[in-house]
Formats: sequence, structure tokens, C-alpha cells
Amino acid sequence: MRILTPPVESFYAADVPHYRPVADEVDVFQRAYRAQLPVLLKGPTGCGKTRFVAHMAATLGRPLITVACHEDLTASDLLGRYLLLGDETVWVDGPLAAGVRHGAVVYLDEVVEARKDSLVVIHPLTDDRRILPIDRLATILHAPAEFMMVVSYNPGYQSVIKELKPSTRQRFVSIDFQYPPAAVELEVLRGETGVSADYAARLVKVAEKVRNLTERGLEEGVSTRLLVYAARLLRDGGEPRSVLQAALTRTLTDDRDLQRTINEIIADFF
Amino acid sequence: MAERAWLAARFTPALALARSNPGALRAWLRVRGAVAAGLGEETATAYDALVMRAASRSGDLGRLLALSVPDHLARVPALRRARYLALLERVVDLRPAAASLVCRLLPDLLASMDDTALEPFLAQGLALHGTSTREAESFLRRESTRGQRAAAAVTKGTHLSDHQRVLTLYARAHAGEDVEVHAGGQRSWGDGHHLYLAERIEVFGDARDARLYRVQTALAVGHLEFGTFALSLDALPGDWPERGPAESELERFFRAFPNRSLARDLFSVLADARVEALVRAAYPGLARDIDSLGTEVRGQRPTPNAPATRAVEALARRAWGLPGLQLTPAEERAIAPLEDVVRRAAGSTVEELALAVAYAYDRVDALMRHVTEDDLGKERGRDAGSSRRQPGEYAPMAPTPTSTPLSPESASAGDRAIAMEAERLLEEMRRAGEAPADAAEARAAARRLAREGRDREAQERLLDGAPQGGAVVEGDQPDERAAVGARGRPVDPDGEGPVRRVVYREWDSTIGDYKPGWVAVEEQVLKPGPREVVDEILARRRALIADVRRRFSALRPEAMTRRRDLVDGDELDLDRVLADRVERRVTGQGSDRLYARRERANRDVAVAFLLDQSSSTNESADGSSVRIIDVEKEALIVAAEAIHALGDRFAIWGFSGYGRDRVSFYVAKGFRDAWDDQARCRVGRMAFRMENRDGAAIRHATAQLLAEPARGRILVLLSDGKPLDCGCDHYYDSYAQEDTRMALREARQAGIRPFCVTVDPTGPKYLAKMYGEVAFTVIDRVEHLPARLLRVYRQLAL
Repeated sequence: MRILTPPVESFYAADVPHYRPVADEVDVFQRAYRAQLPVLLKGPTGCGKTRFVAHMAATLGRPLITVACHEDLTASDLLGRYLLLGDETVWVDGPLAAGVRHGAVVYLDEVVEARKDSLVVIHPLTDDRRILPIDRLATILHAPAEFMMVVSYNPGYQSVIKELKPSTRQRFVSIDFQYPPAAVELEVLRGETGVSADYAARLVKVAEKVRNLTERGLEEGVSTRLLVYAARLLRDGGEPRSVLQAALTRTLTDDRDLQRTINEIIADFF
Repeated sequence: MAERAWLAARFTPALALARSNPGALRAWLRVRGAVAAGLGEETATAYDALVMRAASRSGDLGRLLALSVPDHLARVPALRRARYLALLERVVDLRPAAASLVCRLLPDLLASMDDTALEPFLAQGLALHGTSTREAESFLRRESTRGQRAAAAVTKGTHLSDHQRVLTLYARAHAGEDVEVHAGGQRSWGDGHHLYLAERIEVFGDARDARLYRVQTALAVGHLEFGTFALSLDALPGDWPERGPAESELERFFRAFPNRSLARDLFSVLADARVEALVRAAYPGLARDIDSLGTEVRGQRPTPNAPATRAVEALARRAWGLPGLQLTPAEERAIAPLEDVVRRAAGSTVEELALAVAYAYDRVDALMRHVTEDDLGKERGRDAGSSRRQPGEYAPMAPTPTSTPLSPESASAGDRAIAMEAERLLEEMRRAGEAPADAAEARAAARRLAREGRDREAQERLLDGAPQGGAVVEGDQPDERAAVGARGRPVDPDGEGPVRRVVYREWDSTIGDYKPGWVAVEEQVLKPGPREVVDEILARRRALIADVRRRFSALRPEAMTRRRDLVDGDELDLDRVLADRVERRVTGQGSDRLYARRERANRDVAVAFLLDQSSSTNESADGSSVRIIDVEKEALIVAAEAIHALGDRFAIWGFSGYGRDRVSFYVAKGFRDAWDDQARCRVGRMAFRMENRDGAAIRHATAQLLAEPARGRILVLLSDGKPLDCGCDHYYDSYAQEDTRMALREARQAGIRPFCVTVDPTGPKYLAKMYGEVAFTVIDRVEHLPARLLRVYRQLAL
């Protein structure tokens, strides 16, 4: 029987994605990699978690396999499954199995979105056994030293039900992400989009004020990613107030009053 | 001669009154002197005329107005008193029956409406009075939707109520702290965390008025954002008065001057200029918007004659870039040092402003007292402290729409306590070397901490004040009986954790309209009760519970669906495999989608049980010894076991309360809480309390259910069918029933399936009407409730 594994080349980044470190996260990640420990990234949406992983995998020279977790994600989606190809039955590796074989960085994005029973399959990989049993293949894969497990989750908006089980959570070294400080965020905006320093500074201020509204009606503050989108639109020309209403206001909330408030904050700076 | 005129003035009305009604005469004689002494002879004469006019209509009305008008008149600002009396006199002519109502309500109306708005509004209210007194009262009080709409319609311009929430959010975004925007009648002022803005702006009469609200808010909250309230006097040279208990630094600063009003105006002009400059620099877009409003935005400026007022006005105009006033050399000299500060406003600290005011105050004050500068020098030599000299008369500066006068003295006791606590925390942080480098940030952090602590205390205080009608539950452990709080009042023994307060409207059937923001619901989590209660129920109902668990678990597979056509799954789908084999034989082509998988169906049902905990549930139901509340609890526990076995999400809430200010809403089990021993004990804690205002509780339950993501939502109301709240004048009988009916109807319209279970064997006749289109069932024998409730649930949810 054939076993199909996606080719490793497809998981290498062409070049190292840009990432601007905020604190000691790069150092912690590298140490975890050397110590063969899995890493948990916590932080609000769009603060740079995914970019960070991409950057680190490329820096370490490892392929990166990303899985966006969702409610219907099953254990076989992660491990692999038998498929019928014509008259032949083949085994197709899932991302986790492929990652272990390739010694990749496997990144489970928004891990709490996955069903809890599916997540149990990562347990033997994330303790000192570092193995991946695949019952249906009657195989146990041993992870090479280069293999690294990274998961992320956003403690902010997920419902209480979707908290990570302690048995899962306590297998990770954790790195906290926050929106970067104003000066760094400004640098990121400029670096990512080439927007003018003046516009970048104003955008960062809008973000600061809008973030004051979280916990006061707004579910989550404006993310750096959203600011990057806004900056791209701004650099492209266009009337700033209307561009930003599209990029920020309408994306952030459906509440009419909050929308009006955010529009006024935008008008404060643009 | 004058005496005779005086006598005649008093005598003629007295005679007229004596003829119409001796009672009215006596009443008038009793208070007339006090009216003249308190409100002035002119007002008293108008008052006489009103009383005469009323007495000529009816002696009783004359007497009534003679006695009640003075109290209400005293609430009206002096300038508006003549207006009050004139309007009331017209009401006496047009609709004497409404005069006593209008007499009471007019002061509030005068405070918030100008004449052009007031007259048509009053006329509508009087017209309503012809059909229903109560409707007219709700209308004039602007409690009914109709009244609020009419008030908004007659008052032109931009209304704060349309912008209040946005402005509050906007202010919070700017300050990063909890700021609230309130309606301040015709004036505006601010004490830092509370901004009171005029209820209506009509400077431009178009969309620019809304922009003006925003500008006003940004500038007002700028005082908080840029530290006007963070003045620190101890860092300044000079002799400052000792700080009073809970006194803010700004109050202490103003208190240092004999004429506080003058000191406040001088300081405000400087502080406003500083904040405006800082706001303009920080928010370039807003600066453009301010400019786009033009100089009109400052309103019509008066040309005052009083020397010091002129000087202050001139200073303000220079700060705003308006054409100045012609000043005398002395006036120019008095404000010269301040003008300098205004020019470099953005670069100054608040302390520098305070110093400048302290420096210039004497000279400006001297303008009023007509003291020359030489005299001033001598005064200074004689008496270093200025506090003993008599201040001159000062007419405060006219307000401007852009400015929100600093009013630190209006801060509430709660806010003061938070401010003090924040200062203490900041001091502690400094000592511990933890204070952030940025002072503003440190203050904000300290305030947050202080506020959080204060919120907890406030909740405790609130609970201390809760009346305790039937609060002590029979069978509770003696040590749990109404614990006595620090202030000597009983602490709510049932709740724990933070109290969430939400305000709801109420349907008033007598006026056929909603009263917006009428009822306050306070939600709190129940403390777990003693285990024994629950253990006893579980033991007694063991057989039933085992049975329903089994039966409901058996229903579980019904709640599963089989997904087919999958490339991978738990089992091969035989139909598909056969079809595939046939296909392959015939065409040589097959499918790989041969698997099926059993999955939890998206049952996605959220059910909430809402239990009436009013004191009437303490009664035994049908002559038996069982109390309704106990059976209800039992039924809840059995139902919860069943639903838990089924795997559906559910919540258990209870409610009671006293009056519209406080409908208590107890959470025994939230949707997110596990159904465990703790939750069971919380249900065990549910006991009869006070009254039941069903409408409010249903509205709150509806809101909670809507917030729960689910495809189907069910609300099961367990009650004894008698909505009643004696804490409020008219929540009983048809009023209460109609409100309950409307609340249930609202729930249904919102997509919730309400179901009412009434435990009252006497089966009140109005139930069918009260529950209206909503399904309900009456349990005639309480013991049947648990089994019946399960049947209901199966019908509703499966």
C-alpha cells in the first residue's frame, strides 16, 4: 500500500517573512526549539502571532505546516486517512503526520476552535515521548529533533466553553502577545505598507483611542493587521475618512452607536 | 401713604378670598408672609393673583394652590418664576382640573424647555388630560414614549438624547477612563468623570449642532485627558488652605480666593485655552472641525459693563481669537500676565496656570473694588493673607457652547472616594517604586484599581440597604439567617459576586404606552445553599430522576445525525458501497465517498427556567403542607437532570424584588455553568423573597437568552401566576398582568418560545388573558409538577 506525504518543499517559505520583535519572544521561541518543547502563543487577533511563527520557522530553516482549526476538525483530518484512488487504496498523511515525517514546525492556529477530542492526538507529541501513534496504519511515528509543535489561541473573544483544557494547556511553553507599543506599531505599518510617517502615526493614534473602547462595548480592539490593511488602502490614495470607515469601522462592529463613535475618532485624526 | 397701599394690596385679595372660600383664605394667610419674605414682594403679588383666580373657580382649588404653589415656586429659578405663575394661571382658566398636576410638574419642564417649546407641549398634555389624568401625567413627566416624542418634536435643534451614548463612548475613547455624558438641562458642566451637557443645542440649527456636541465633549473630556483635574497645589509656592476631607485640589484651589467665582472664571479661561490647544494638537481632524464651525461656535458674546467681568470676557475673547473689548489701562494691566499664559497655553502645566491666576487675582479683584494699585500695595503690606479682605461683587462670565465649566464640587461622594483611593494607591505605588513613568498613566491605573474596589463596596452597600421582606428562609441553618452588615442593616444572604444592573422599559396599560427606562433589574449569582436541601430532593426523587435520566439519555441518539457521502468515517455506508460496485462494473468508474459518520446534530437549543421567588410562593398550594417554592425547586432539579442527560444547554434563574428600582434576578445556573453539585446547591438556595415584577424579569431573561448563541430558545416561566409588586404604586391586577403579557409577547417576537407553568390549583381566571398567545399550563396538583415539566420540555424541545 502506498503512503502519500505532501512534498516537503512546498512548506518552505521563499524568504524570511518580516517580523518586528516586541519583547523576548524570539529568544524564548529559539530556546524552546532547542529544548524540543512545544509553544503556545496567546494574544488578540491580528497582533502578529501567525507572522511570528512564519518568521521563526524560516529563520530556523524549517518547513512550516499551518492548520487553521475549526469545529469540524477531526483527528483523522490531522493524522491522515485512507483514500481510494481508482482501484487502489492509499494512505494520505494529514498535516500532523506529514509534519512529523518532515521534521517541520506544525502550527495549529486558533487551537481552541478544534474539538477537544481531536486535540487529544497531539498529547503524545507534546510531552517527552514526542511520538505520533497512527492506529489505522499500525504505526508509531517518532518525531525528529527538528519537529516543533506551535499552537495559538486568543483568550479574548472565545466563549468560556472554548477554553483550552488544562491537560492540553500545561504541555506548552507560553508566549504572550499584545498589540505592539505605538512606536513599534508605527514601524510595522511603515515597513509593511510604505505608508507615510504622518499617516502611520495618525493610524496608530486612532487605534489607541479605539482600543480604549474594548470592554466598553467593542468586542476586540483594532488589530495591527487591520491597521496594515487600512494603511495599504490609504497609501493607495482615496479620501481617508471614507477609506478608514471601510477598513476599520464597518469591520470592527455592527453596533450603530459604536460605528458612529469610531467614525468620529477617525475624524479626530483625519 | 405707602402703608395704606400695602394694606390695600393685602386687604383686597383677602376680602375676595373670604367671600369665595374661608379655607382658601386661611391657607393663603398662613403662607403669604413666607412667600413675600422668601421670594420677594413682586412674586408674592403674582402669587396672590393666582390664588384669587383659582379660588374664583373653586374654593378648594384656591386652597390647594395657595398651599402647594410656594414649595414648587421655590424650585424655579428667580428669572422664570413670573413665567411659572403666568402659565399656571392660564391652566387654571383653561383646565382647572389639571392645575394641581401642572403646578407640580411645571418646575421641571421650565428647567428643560424654553418658552417656544413649553407652550405647545403643555397644550398637548392638557388635551390629554381630558381623556386620562394618568396618561397626561406620564406625558408631562415625559415618562411615556408619547411624551418623550412630543417633547423632542417641540424642541427644535439637536437633542443630546440622540447622541448621548455615542458621546459617552467617544469621551471614553479619548480619556481611556470611564467617563459618562449626562443631560444637564439647559446648562453644561463637568466634574471630571461626569460631563453634563445641555439637553439641546441650537446654535446653528443644522447638522453642525451635532458636530458642536462632539467638539464640546472632546474639549470637556480634555480636562481629564490633559490633567486639569490633576492639579497639585503642594508643588506650588504660596499659602494654600489645608485640604478638606475628600476635597479635590481644584476645589481647594478655588477656596483659596475670597471671590471663588472670579478665581474659577480666570482659571477656566486659561485651562480651556490650554486644553483646546492640546486637543487641537493631538487631534488634527478635530481641529479642522472646530475651525469649520467658525467663530459662531462661541455663541453670542455679551458686552459686560462690570469692570472685572469685562476683563475676564476680554481675556476669553483673546483666547478664542474673537474681536476684543475696549479695556481701560488698569484692566489691561490686570489681565496682561494672564494673556501671556493664554498665548503659550499648550506649553504650560496646570500648576503654572494656577500660579498665574493667583498672581493676577488681586489686580482683577481690585478692579471691582475700585481700589487703585497703590492701595493694593498697602493692603498687601498690611495683610499677607488675602482671605480676610472683602471680595467685590462679580458677575460670572456668560457661558459659551464650546466650554463645559469646571465644576469639581459637583463630584459625587463615590467619585471623590475613588479619587482619594486612587491618590493613596498612587502614593503607595510610588513608594514601592512601581509607579509607571507616565504620571497620567499611573493615575489612570490607580483610578482603575480604586474604582474596582469601590464597585465591590458599592455592591455591598446596595445589598445592605435591601429590604428583607421574608428574607429568612425556614429550614436554613441558623447561622445563615440574615447576617448583619457593618452598617447595621441585613446583608443579602443569597447573592455573591458582582451585581449587574440593567434598566428596562415597562408597559403601562393605563396610558397604552411604554415607559422607557422604568425598571432596574439587578442580576447576581446565588450563593450555593446547604447540601442537605438538594440531597433530600435527590433522595426523595431518586426513582423519578433515574427514570428521566434513562429516558432522556435514550432520546440522545435522536439528537444525532448521520452524515453520508464522506471520504472517511466511522462506518462504510452499505448503500453507497453497493452503488459504487455496480457503477464500477458498468462504467469502470467509482466514487470514493463511501463512508458515513454519526455526529451530534446541531441541536443547538438553549432553555432557561425562570422561577418566581415571590413571597406568595411560600404558601402551600392546595391545602397540602407542601409549599409552592419547594415543589418548584424540586421540579427544577428533576428537569435539570433530564436536560443534562439530553445534553442541551440550560440556565436556571430566579427573580423577586421590591419596587421598580430593584428587581432582583438570581442566577442559580448560567448557560456556561456546569450542572454540578455547586449548581444544584444554588438551586437549593432559591427561596421565597419579596414581590414579583414579572414583566421586568421576563425582559431581562429575554435579553439573556438572546445573547446566548442558539438556534432555538425556550423560556419556561414557573410562577404562581400573580404578578404583584407593592414596592411600587400600581404594579398589581390588570396593570401587572398587562405588562407581563407584553413582556411575553416581546419575547415571542424576538424568536423565543416562552412557556408558562403556573402552580396554582385555583386557576385564576385571568391567566388565559395574561399569557395571551403564549402557551401555558396550570398544574392542579403540585406533586405533578416535576413529571409535567418534563412533558412540557419534551413537547417544546424535541
